[in-house]
Amino acid sequence: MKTLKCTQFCLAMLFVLGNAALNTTSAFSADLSARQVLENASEEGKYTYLLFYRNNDQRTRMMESETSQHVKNHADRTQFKKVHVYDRGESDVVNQFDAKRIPVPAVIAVAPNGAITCIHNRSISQQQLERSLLTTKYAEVVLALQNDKIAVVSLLPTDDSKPTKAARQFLKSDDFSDRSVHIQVSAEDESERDFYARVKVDPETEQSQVILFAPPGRHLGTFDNDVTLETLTEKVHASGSCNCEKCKHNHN
Amino acid sequence: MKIRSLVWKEIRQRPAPSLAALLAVALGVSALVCVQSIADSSAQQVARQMSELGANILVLPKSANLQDYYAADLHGETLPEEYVTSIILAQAVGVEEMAPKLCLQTTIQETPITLTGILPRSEFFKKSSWQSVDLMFQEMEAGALGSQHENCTGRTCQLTDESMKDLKSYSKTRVVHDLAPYDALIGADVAQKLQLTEESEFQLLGDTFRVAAVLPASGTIDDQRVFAHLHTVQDLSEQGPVVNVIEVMGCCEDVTAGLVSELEDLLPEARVITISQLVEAQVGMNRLMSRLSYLLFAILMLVGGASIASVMFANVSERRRELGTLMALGATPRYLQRLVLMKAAMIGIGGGLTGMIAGGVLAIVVGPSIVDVPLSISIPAIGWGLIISFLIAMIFSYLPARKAAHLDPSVCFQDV
Amino acid sequence: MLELIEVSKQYSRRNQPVDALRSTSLKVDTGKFIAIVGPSGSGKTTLLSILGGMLAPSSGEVKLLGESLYQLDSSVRAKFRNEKIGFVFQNFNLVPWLTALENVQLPLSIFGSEADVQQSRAMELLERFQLTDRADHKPSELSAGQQQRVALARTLITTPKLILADEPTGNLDPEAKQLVLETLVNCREKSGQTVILVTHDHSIASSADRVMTMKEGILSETSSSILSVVAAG
Repeated sequence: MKTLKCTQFCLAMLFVLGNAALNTTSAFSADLSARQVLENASEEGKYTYLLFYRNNDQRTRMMESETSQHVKNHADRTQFKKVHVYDRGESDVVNQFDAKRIPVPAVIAVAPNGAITCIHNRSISQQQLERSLLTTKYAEVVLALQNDKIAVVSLLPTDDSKPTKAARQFLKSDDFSDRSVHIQVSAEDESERDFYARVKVDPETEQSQVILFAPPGRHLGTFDNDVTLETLTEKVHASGSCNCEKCKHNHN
Repeated sequence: MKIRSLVWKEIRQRPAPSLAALLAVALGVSALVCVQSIADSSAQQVARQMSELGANILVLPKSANLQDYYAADLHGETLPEEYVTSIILAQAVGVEEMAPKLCLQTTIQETPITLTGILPRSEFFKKSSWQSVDLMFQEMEAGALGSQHENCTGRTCQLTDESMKDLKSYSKTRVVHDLAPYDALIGADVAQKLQLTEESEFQLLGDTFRVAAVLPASGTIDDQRVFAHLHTVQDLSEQGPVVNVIEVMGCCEDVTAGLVSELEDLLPEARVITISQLVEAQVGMNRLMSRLSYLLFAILMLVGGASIASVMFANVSERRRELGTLMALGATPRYLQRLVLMKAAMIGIGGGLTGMIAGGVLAIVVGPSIVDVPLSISIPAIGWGLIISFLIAMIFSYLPARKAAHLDPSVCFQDV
Repeated sequence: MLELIEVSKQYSRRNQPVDALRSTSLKVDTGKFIAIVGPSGSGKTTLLSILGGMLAPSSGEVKLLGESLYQLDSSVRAKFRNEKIGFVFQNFNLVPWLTALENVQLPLSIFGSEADVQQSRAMELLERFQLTDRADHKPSELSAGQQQRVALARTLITTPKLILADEPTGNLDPEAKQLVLETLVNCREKSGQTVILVTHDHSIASSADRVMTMKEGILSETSSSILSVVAAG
């Protein structure tokens, strides 16, 4: 019995170690092309960190070291790929990220939904890398902004709650219906707690709230349930976030 | 018969000396009108540029030597295009738009043109939005980033309405929202010369381009350019990802100084100058031109005046008997004085008018090749030219006129 | 009509005073024809200039038509000269770039009389001197005789009371000379104009009512009968 338990423990350990080894291999995909890494990451819901470089100089090595550390820390959620900008085999990804025209070495983080969650060149810190790991809804917000849309984020106290009236009107308005993306985040969704923390909203709030973000990453405001459509549109125009006639008066 | 026609008939009888004096005056006035018109037009253009270009900054290769804004990309030196991304990633406060350019001198149907690569704003919007997470973090954590500068967040506006997609607005805004790789914007002069219209196609360096828009005439050298996507021009020039200049449009004048030092720190290999610095240089040049023209005018007017004095003295000497006869017929010394002064005035005004026309024509013909601006004739220069040529003629003929008035009338009896 | 009272004129030449006219007195009645003869440099031209109000005498007084000529303001004197005195010159003194018609108009145009008046009066005189067909010709396109006729027409356009002629026939052929003489005589006879003529030509002087001789600045009366003999001889 003791032997069986010991065998079972050894097998379990082997399984864990094996898994860990497998995970480690997939996090640092030396053999796969950057394109394949990105595709795999998308399927597996992982973040990909691409390090574009020209010379394997000290800066490159420093950035590589920092990023590797971060990827090791989040092996279950991240992957890393180092890409030489003149590597012909990687030209597809180099062109996709226009890497020949960005200052290198540079690290670009790509969320599973395709949103780019960070770009840093010359140096990078663990703090910056941590910031690039987002919740699913947050990644949706970022993707919307990168698609030149205004992100209308409805923070709902429960899964069944309704977005604010003003948010619904905003999304249907002539001015913004085709320029906006609606992202609903429920306070009941535990995985989105980090999102609440980042937008500085108490998840225990009983009323629906709405947050407006404009490209490239402007926080136009967080509004309570009783906000009016006029207030929302006014905020957008006042920020000059859409170059419509109304904005031009406000934007210097 | 009036005294005027008496003078006019005398000038017509012996036109050569009067013409010589008139030409000397005309030369002075034409120099003044021509140079002043060019200087004035250049100054107006500079003022227009200032108001149109606002708080713009130019990022240039260190070795680039440039004289005016519209030729800022024609120096032939290059800097890496990655500088554009560097500026975006630095999140410099006040950067509203950017316009990197690369120029290639080439020909279309044997007509020489300047092919200018421009980067649509959508390209750097894309890169700017890659920082969304950091930007949101900064705004949420540190409060409004734009607190450094009221009403200005330092972020490029990324939402674009339809009017901004009008390619023709490029001539005014100097920014194009989107441009397909083989689409071209054609300057008004090139379009006219090559008879290119929208949607027509043309061959350029072995590739077929489509005319996406014919730009309205701007009166600048842009009228002689063909604009295409920067990356296409880079491929055609085989120079790699480089540009000749990056124009950074600041949100307002207030940010310019801070932005320049920020960009200088960010891009130590580049030369960062403001349009106002460039304009200052141009204004200084205009001022110099203007002063030189006054100096030239003064010298030529003195020559003209001396010439008038010489012609009038000779005239009074030659016409002694004639003047004596007029006295015998009842002319007063004042009448003779008026006769001489009127002739001088005719030479002066004639010289002034000739100079005005010659200077104006010269400015219109030669001006554009010197300053690349549409010329308008300087009215003050014309006014001053005419007034001073008249005054010079009067002043320099005063002594001959006095001599005529004091002539011994008995000369009319002598055989001179 | 004309009176010279103790008129003298001194010039300064190389700092030396030269007496061009020595204390000369003369009285001429209206409608008289006076001839002044004398060698060159005797002061004839100086006398003519003084009589014409163009050269102020060093001393003495010149009275014309009751006005003391040199007491008048220069512009008034000029107008007086324009209206009351006519000159005829040996070299005609026509303005070379003006036509015959314009030359005749000249005295009227100086004080700005109406263009129509100027022109019609000038044309009348040109017609009188048979120069209508030459009205638009410049002096260089006219013969000496024609030029002197134009000059005479110019002199007469203001119908002056006094005509001062300086060798008016000096450059003319006999026919033209005769015409000039006839004209001057006519002026005296028909219009009652006073003529003072300076000449070397004794035959012309013989037509005068009085002949005077000028010698070294001194004017003296000469008998016209002596002149007739000289002219005939």
